[in-house]
Amino acid sequence: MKKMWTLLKKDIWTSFTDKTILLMVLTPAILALIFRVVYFDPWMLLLTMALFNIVLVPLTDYPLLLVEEKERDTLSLLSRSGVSLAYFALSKAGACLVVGELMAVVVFLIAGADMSLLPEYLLVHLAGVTALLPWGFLTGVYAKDQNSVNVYAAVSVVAVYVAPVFSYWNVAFGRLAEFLPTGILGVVLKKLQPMEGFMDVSLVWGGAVCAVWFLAGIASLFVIRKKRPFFPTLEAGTRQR
Amino acid sequence: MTNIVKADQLTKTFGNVKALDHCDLEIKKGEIFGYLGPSGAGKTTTIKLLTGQLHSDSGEVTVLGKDPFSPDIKKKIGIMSDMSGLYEKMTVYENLDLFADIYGIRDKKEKIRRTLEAVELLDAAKKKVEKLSRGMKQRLVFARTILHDPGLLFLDEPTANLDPATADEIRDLIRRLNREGATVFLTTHNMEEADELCHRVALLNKGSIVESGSPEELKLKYSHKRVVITTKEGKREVPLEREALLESLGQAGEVLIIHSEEPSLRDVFLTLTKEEQ
Repeated sequence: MKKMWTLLKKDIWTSFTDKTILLMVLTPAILALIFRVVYFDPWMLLLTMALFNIVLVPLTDYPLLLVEEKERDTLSLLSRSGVSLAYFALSKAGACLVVGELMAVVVFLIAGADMSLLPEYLLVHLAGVTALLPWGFLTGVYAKDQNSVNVYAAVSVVAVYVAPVFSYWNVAFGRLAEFLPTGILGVVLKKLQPMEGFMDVSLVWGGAVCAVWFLAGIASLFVIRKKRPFFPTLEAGTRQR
Repeated sequence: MTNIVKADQLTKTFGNVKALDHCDLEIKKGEIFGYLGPSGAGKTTTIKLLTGQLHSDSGEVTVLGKDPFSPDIKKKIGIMSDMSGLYEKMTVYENLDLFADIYGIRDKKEKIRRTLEAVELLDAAKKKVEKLSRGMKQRLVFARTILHDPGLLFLDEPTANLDPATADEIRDLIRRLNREGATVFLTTHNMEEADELCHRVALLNKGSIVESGSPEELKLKYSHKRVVITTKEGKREVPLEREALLESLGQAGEVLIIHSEEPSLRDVFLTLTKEEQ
């Protein structure tokens, strides 16, 4: 446990000191501030920026943290120090969840939404981020450096962001959003401003969709792991020929 | 002396390249063992095989009596490679503090202080790593390697690309650790360094060990067995045989200098590799 706590502290610290990662972490909050000045609407702010945070945290921040160690050549060092793949992956996932929830609070406060919705908002935010973490891990496995992460992440971010954001203007997108982890934000949005048929997702349905996406991501990782190690340098010390 | 590392018939191939070809190694407790060879000879591959970072294609390795992949081993050995892997945005102290926690070191503050003192970085403890000179970074890497008091050190070219003064400091540290009981396996392509530091060496060429022994044994074995006598009239080379030597000395005028000619380790290595070719 102490080792995990040590790695978690380091990764949270890296999230705020690595310039690329920090920029990604702060982007939703910075944009929320700008939009607040331009157009103050808590519902719209949460739709765009809270959703952006749900997507950025697992699909960009997480792989950036993973790849940062590749670029720094610390993977073999960690392996030699007895840090396993599980600790490596979980500490960074944990760091993303902590930092992501913190930024979610910031966005919520900037949006000026009803404070009584904060606990439920944080819960759905956590569910949405967790559902997408395995997919972000995949990005970290295949990306060679932080630039590659941004290229791959652009595709994955758009894939799960566009449908819910534009569901207000497009019925088909709205239907699609109900089957994406990001659709779970509808649970909070409809309490803020009920709109019939718009992201009309219950907590149970949203939670189930998130669980399916999470499990599908884990299953994909299992399939890929049979063909290749995720981080060869880190995993070189495990007894698997 | 007991063998602390034993490798039998180690072989490793990468594609079509045989990086290591049926190598046998024994490292005795308390010695500084040098593993010498040019770049690409297989030195780093050997270290990786001995430290559980790479699987061999064939052969057996035991380190401290165990499989190098055993989780127990990691806490008992220190590995220093040419890739530093330092966290540049952290301070010197924070880099060591991180690994002290990972290793579960008790009394870590005192341990870090003593380690920084040993590598003469105590004054730089609060400096960020990105601000350190190359030599200071290398000393920090060394500090991280010895932080958990490993009894067995694997040092992969520890003085590579360092200025002479810093390289000397690192060698002094290695000697001091050895005097305090650490066994050291070090790779280098610097034959003079190995001659100066090592109790025993193995010479590696194209994945095979071509010779091994103490530096003195190797130099004697491959000695030209000649003596150089310098007189006022000039120098004369004489075979190292009693009769020939006495005759030459009898014939020589005033002898100014008389010395034997031993090859350096470099000469030995070049002789062996030429013979192989």
